[in-house]
Amino acid sequence: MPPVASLSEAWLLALESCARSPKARSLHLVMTVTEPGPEVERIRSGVDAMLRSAETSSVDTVAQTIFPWPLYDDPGISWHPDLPEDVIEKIDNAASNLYERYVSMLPVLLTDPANRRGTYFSRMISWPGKQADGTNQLELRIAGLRRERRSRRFTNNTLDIDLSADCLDVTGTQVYAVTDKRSRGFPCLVHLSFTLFNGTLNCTAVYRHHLLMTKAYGNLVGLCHLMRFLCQQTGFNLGELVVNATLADGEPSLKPKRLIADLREPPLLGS
Amino acid sequence: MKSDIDSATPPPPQSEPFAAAETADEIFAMDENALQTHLQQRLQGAIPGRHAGDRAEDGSPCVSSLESVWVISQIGHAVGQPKLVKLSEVGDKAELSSLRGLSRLVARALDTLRPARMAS
Repeated sequence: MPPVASLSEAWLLALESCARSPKARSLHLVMTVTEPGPEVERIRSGVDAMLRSAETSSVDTVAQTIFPWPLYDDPGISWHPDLPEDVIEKIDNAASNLYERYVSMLPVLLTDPANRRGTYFSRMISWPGKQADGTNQLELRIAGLRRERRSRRFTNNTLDIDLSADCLDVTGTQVYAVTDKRSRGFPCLVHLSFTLFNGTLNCTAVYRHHLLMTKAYGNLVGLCHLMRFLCQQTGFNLGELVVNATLADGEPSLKPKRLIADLREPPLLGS
Repeated sequence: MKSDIDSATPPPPQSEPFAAAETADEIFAMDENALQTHLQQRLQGAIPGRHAGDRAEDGSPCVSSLESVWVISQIGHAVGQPKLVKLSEVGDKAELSSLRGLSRLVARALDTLRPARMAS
């Protein structure tokens, strides 16, 4: 798919492409969002309405499994190595409070069968994701990115977050399982790769099975929020988001072509 | 174009996290109306990104699923039952979408704990 500015446009182009494929399935469907964050209201409203009709999780519910922004005290300022200590402390506390609040919710969150293996965010902040005191990958990456910033290194690609791996290649490795023989189910988001490039923080997310109607839009929203959080916590500029769905599923039972037709009247994108 | 997510005015950052003063006894003593008020205060005080104002079908304020889980977990910790509500056992998911529904859900959960509490 060609790079586009908004996640809404990226999602719609991807759905359109997948819906044209046999059985509405595509291999290696790549979405590129050059301005992570802004949405097109009409597309968002259409997706919200479709999800309500399908009686499944809303865009925000899906997105908040990746980044629960309502729990985040936005400090209103981005990290910089030269900030006064009290301001840095405020930024740090905003992140710490977020992690603590979310971890305190885990006992209840995990009572939902859909969350029995943890959520994406819990896997990021407390690997393997089902209880407190796990490895906080997000915190480690933020520390790593700040080191890069202090060292004035603005291009780097050694900053990954694993969401499905059997073990973590970080200090204090926790082994979740020697082998993972599951062939279906969570997690579909398996890897986040963060790349610093000329001072911008970019993200590539790999999904092994991406449900374009019920999950993809919310996932894009959540990933954009996550990127903005990381940029604020590290002071880097926001780059682009790439989502690679190794198997993209247009979920034909939910009538994607009808939704596409509704959203393209009047045409939103150039043909 | 929908507003950029950063353009929504965030509430002012809190200098201290919300600390609910109610003890378990006080929570158990609340009727449903008092509980609803208490839950609303908890939400407003502790979730800075919360957008109030939208109304659910029952006329009470909307709550998101994240907020519902947050409130349930906080009340659960306060009364010594971290899994106060099991999401898998919530029959009517709409109860997680409105303040009144959430209050009823929490009140029912507290009711199931009362016999053991009175016996101890």
